[in-house]
Amino acid sequence: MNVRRAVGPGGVVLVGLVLVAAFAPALAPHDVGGLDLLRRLAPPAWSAGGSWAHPCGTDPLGRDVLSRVIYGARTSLAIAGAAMLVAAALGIFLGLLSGYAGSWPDALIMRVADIQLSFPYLLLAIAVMALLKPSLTNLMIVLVLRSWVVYARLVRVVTLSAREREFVTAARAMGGGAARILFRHIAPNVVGASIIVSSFQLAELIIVESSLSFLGLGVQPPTPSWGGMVSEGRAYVGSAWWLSAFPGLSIVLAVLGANLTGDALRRALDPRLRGV
Amino acid sequence: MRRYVIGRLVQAALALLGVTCVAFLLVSLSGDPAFILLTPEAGESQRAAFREMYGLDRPLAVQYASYVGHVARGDFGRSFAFDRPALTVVLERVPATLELAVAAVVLAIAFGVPAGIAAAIRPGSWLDRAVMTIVLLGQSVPTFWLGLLMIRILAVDLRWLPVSGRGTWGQLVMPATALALWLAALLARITRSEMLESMAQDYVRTARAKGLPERGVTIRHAMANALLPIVTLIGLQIGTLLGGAVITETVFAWPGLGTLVFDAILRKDYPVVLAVVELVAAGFIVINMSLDLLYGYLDPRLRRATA
Amino acid sequence: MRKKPAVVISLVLAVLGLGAPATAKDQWVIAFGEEPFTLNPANKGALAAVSDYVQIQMFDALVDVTGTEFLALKPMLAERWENPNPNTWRFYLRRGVKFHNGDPFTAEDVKLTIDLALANKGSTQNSYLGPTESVRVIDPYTVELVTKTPFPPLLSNISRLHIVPRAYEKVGPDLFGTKQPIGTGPYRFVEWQRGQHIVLEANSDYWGGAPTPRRLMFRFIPDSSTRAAELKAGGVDIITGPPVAQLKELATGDTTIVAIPAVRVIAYPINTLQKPLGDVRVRRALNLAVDRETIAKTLLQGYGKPTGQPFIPGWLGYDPEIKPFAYDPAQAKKLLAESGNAGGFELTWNITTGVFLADREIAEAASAMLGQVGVRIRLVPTERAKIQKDLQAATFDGITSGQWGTTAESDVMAKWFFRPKIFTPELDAKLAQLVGAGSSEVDRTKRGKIWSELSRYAHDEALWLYIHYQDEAIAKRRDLPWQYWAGRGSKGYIYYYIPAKR
Repeated sequence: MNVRRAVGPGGVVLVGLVLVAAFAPALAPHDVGGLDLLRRLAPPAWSAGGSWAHPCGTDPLGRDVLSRVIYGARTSLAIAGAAMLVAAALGIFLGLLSGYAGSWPDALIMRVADIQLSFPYLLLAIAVMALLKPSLTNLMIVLVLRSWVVYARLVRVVTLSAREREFVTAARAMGGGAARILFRHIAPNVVGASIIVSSFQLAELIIVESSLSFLGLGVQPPTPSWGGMVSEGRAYVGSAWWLSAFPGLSIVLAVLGANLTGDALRRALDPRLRGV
Repeated sequence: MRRYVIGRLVQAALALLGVTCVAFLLVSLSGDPAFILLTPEAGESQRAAFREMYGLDRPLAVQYASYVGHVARGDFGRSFAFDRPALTVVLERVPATLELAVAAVVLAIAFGVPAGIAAAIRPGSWLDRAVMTIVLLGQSVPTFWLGLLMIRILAVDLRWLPVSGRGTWGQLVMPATALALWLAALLARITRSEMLESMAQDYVRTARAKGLPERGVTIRHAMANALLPIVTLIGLQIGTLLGGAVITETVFAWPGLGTLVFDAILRKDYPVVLAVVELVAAGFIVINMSLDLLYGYLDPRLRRATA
Repeated sequence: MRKKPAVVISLVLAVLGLGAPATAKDQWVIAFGEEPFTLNPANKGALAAVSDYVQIQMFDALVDVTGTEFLALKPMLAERWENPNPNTWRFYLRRGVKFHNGDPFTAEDVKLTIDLALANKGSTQNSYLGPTESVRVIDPYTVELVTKTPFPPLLSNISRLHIVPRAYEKVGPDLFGTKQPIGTGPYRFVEWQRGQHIVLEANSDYWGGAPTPRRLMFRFIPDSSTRAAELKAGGVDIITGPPVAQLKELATGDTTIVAIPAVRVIAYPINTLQKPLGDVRVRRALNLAVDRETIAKTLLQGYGKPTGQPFIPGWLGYDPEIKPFAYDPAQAKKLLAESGNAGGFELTWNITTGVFLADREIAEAASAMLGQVGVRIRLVPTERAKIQKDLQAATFDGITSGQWGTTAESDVMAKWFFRPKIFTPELDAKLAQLVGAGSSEVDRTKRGKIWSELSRYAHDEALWLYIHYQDEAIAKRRDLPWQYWAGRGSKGYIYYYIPAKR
């Protein structure tokens, strides 16, 4: 597998964003919470009324937009990334179980997936946030619930077809236990598909977080997140365009990066794998 | 075949019951409606009377059993907020939701599928790259932001379209477009990848070798194969379309189920929330079960796989 | 030259019927953020403010609370009233009034309305009547209410009880609330498109004279930016709850902002049972650390004023002598040090988002200011019902948030904020005494003095974090001949959104 082709420009963007997130304190020119009510809604540096002290302008509370976007990378990427990993773990496990064991575990897991899919996720999100406190943990729960099904279904299909293959039959005939078979023979087939799905899920989760913020259910203030900033800036579309534009641009970059990486990975790992 | 169908029906019924259970648990644990539905001036005695009126002071298990019993008879209870049958409140909003959903699906198919085909015909070409970039952009923009941007530019600044509401064709354009965008992007990608897949298949190459014109080969053979996954995808997104169009409905003041259930959740109007969940879940389960049955009928191999 | 294509497209779209629907000149379109629950004033349970705003156009009450002079009581369906004894209220009714269906208005209708409110124990209307026991028809134009114990707020409460006709029983509550709301008011019902709009038209036989405009349409648009867009684009004439972000923009061009002053107080009650909030020096320090002037000027853009007491101008009990706390971070730090908290401490602040003007932003700004004197705030956004419940049940940490609309009588508000168990025994005893006295004092002037005393006590003991009280901003088309005026309303709001000419 040609690593460079696999990663491609999308991977570069993603890695870049992750680095920005990791080194946020060093990169951000201002403190995230630094309020200055008298300097609120200052435009970016190159516009009239702007200054290079705040290259991307300030928000309605006078906080530096650039710093918040940089710190927002931490929040948005960390949440989406963590949710994706947990969802992947859960979904892959259940998918393997479902595909390999068949009969009632399969039916049960798939019906649970059905039940969950027939719940519009936003309603689930609202219900969870209304039931429990709107905290980061609960947001993660909601995002994981959104994602695990995709992994489970895909892995299940791959497992089903792998199960019928000869080497598995042979292994079983030789007395291998189910877990052993799963991990040694089937799992490797699953990895490639899962990685590809992950990149697309990352993209989607970033968008989901932003939508939840619009409804007031995402990351809560004053923690900056890209989605939250776009939502907060939405009423200023006509007057203070920079409030939504810069975090919005970041979202587009991250999603683009994730999707391009997924595409590249797909081409590199298995050109015959279907896109999801 | 008959056993298969019955098996699926039973599973569907169980799934529906499961949905009811989860929804019921969530709403009833999420808090006391009396506080939000009666203004703060109402004293505790009024709130207690309110709770008693709607049977909210009974143990949870009793409420659940009573609810299921009523639903089985078609009685979804009365909305706490509106004091009307919950089913009526919900059904009133269905036409608006269907209108938006159908318009969005139509737009998504009309734009997404041809875009996917165009991209697939010559993979790697500038057309392919251009289309896929637009598609990626379409999936990166949050719906509410796009909606508000459209309103500002198309409705306020240019005055080409009305801002919000429902009733005229003009009022349908922006919300349907906003809702259709992500679906169109998804469809474009699926179409493209399915097409690429099909075009590499042997029988297509054979047809081409036989001398059939490229376009005929592309569209007829490849599309036929792509149809199934496309329809499957739409089926899976029904839940999102129907209930999750909350954002589009909120931004455009579209009187659909999304805003109804969102408000109902915040107001703790449980009968309405539960009624919507039942309806959407039932719709989803029915549609997907039908699709599964259709596959099962068409391809016996799949019966074992999806059972 | 550049405008031409846009104009052409507009014309084409108009011809195709795709353009924006035009608003007739004799119809005013008002956009709210929510939809009424019902048009039935005697409904069994839930009551929403917005339901009342629409009902008010179609129904009258016995008494009007109106405001060229704030909170004065004026005759409406009752021409005069008297108390033969402290437990009895006698109303003499207006003659010649007709309901929308032609039926004449008599004392029987009043009796029915009150009986319904008494019977609907799970409703807010029931709470308006307080200890009312019974209602009696003396003659077709005289009706009498009897209460178990003296209840001074009854008169202003009864201004919120819309009178329904005897025909109510024949029509039935379901139809009455959805298709046939029959009242005596200046407007009659035309249609209700669920989720979209309600249309009313003028009642030309109204006893107070036919109102203008001829038609009213109430539209429900949840998102505030969309509402503002509709106003700017000419789709509606008046909007409520404009987005803070666009207040400046809406005040220019062909739209303008009407500010209704002193509409509600924003409360940030402190849980004094929690260390170190039991120490009055700490509470005063919190108040001294916040620059409320700047907040009012920048975040509220002038639509709010700094305050130092729970009562605001126009309320019974407001004391103009009580000034807001100064902005003095140095003094705040000193007080904290004096009370043994020189190193600062952590504090939870439960806030709402989107419930009142700039609620989140104000909390964020104030938190930053408090941080500068060492009080590290943890903001906990909470949804409205829970925050109300937590206050009443005294289950919140630190500071919480609340708001109360301007109201004719202060007893309910006083009970709501000063009776939950969040006060130290000494504070609680004094508050119990003050609130109890105010609630049962029949004489209005004496009542006012007691509430003023409560206000001063709450200020001196810094029982709240005092920041501001709020004006209400309503945006309208500049050339629309509408002025707000104070009148009846639900939740004690004393203003209409739409005045009929009366």
